[in-house]
Amino acid sequence: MIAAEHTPIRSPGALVDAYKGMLRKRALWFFLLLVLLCVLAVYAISAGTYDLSLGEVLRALWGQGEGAADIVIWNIRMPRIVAAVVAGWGLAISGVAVQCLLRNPLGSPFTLGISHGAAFGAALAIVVFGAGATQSSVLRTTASVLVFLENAFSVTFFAFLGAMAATMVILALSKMKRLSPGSIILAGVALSSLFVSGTILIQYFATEVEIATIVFWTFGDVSRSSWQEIGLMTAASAAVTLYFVLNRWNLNALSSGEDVARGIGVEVDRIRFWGMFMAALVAALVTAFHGVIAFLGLLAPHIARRMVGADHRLLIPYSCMVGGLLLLLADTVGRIVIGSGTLPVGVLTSFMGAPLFLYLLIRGKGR
Amino acid sequence: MMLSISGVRFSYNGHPVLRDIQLELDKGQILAVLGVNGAGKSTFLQCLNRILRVKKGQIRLYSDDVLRMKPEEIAAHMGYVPQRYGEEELSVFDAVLLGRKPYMKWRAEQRDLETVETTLGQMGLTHMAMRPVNTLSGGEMQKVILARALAQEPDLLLLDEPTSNLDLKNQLEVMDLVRKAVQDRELSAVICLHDINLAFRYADRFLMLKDGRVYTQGTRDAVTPEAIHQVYGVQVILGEVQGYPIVVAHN
Repeated sequence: MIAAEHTPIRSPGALVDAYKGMLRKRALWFFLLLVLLCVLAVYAISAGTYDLSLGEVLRALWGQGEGAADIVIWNIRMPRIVAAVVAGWGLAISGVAVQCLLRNPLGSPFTLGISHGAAFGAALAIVVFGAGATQSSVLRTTASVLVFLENAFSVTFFAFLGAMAATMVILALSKMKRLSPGSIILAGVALSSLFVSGTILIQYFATEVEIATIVFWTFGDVSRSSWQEIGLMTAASAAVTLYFVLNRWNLNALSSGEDVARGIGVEVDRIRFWGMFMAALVAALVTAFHGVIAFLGLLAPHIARRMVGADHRLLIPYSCMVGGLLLLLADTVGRIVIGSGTLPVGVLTSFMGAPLFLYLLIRGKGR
Repeated sequence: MMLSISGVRFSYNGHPVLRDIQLELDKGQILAVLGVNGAGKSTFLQCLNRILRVKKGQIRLYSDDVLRMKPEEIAAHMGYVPQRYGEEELSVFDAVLLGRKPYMKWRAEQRDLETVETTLGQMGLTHMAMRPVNTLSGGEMQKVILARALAQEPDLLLLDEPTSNLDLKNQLEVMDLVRKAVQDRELSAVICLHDINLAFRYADRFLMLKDGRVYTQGTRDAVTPEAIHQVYGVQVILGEVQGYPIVVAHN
């Protein structure tokens, strides 16, 4: 953790000064992460099958780019990079909120079944509702097989409905049956299992092309992003982040226990219901546009917590920054280092997230 | 009268837990709430600050009707130390700063930070202010929770078995801090306790609950061997050692 744990305090006011100094020091690290994100973004723009010099990148970013470089940057790489950052941010804010609201370090949109609900919705749209007549340039498999969709947004729309259906079931159970936070996680596991079974059942009746589409969709990928989608995701992530920033003291109180929170005037049930709704909304939107990106919502808050502790005044912005950074890093690694140019980012986040999940279980922090 | 309660009833799913509770408490007094497990002690405490919603009865703090107050208004008047609390990862300073929440708008002001510093100093916690709460011992942790309640600058402290998980030394330290806070800050305290000897040592008034009803209440004289037998089902002898009243189980 950043900051000394022991500070010798002598004169009156010295503790307040030391506390303010610690907060300032921790806030500084945020800007270092921001610089790191910018450096990584510039590298991600310049590197790839069509190599660009730093000068070409900077000229294009300054609005003075020209020719193929300008097209590659603004039509291909920038949407992908911005989508990775915004999707990472959205999943991270969702994860940090769910972990606090449920007081469970294993809480995330993925473990609550929201992601699998979206996958089920997408499968339903592709197979049952027959999305697949008109050629779409949006989806392209790794084997360069064209995948046909009647309308790319119909899949997104159904994925969103699936994610929100999972959310509503979780919220209804917690509201009507007053489930404990631990039981809510278990309900999420059960829902995930149900949605996975449903998706498999749909695949059983699907054609080969439909199966390929579903499988590719569930990989999780940020390469299929348009500026409109990015705009919508950014607006949702910003609104949800603002909601949680406004409630940061309530989140701090909730992280200390329900009775503690109630004792200092927090309306726990209201905050938990609306907080879960907001967290699920942004996760549903990200998943609907980009497929299942596993574990990022779990991973980013834990890394941020290691850096700045559990204070949500810092944890929220740091989680968002780490989420964006991680997803951009995973996408860049998948795109450049591994080399195929099309490795879905969801595969890499699963590789990163699963060991962390196990680490948390082994460490015994799960409640 | 600082706190006056009349006709308070509370039920869980139709099952009555508190029945017609009457009570009056003066400023500067410590009230010990006694009774067996399940007698309704914690429920009573949570009804006072409306963590649980009272359907019938009246609770007044000075002239204010508590049942009509908003949660944050109640928190500005009543500090609550729950029986159970989570494994807090916040630093001690941040955990105590949460007690200022009823007064904070957007950010913690200088006055909030100074109140935390002063409270930590009074509780002897200054040297561990930057440590995460979950790295502290049970006694230290309980002091942090108490410090947070005091940072609320309440008129009334509500403590739900604050000594239940502490060794003897820490029990006495925590209760000494409560008594000192009551005297120095001119507030009152309602404390649920299992240990009658501890109650005798620190409380001015006593409320004995049996099956959700007030069996008896008053000064120490109200807590007779007969009352203890009726409430706890245990025969006891009341005695005195070096000026401290003690209760010893007889059979």
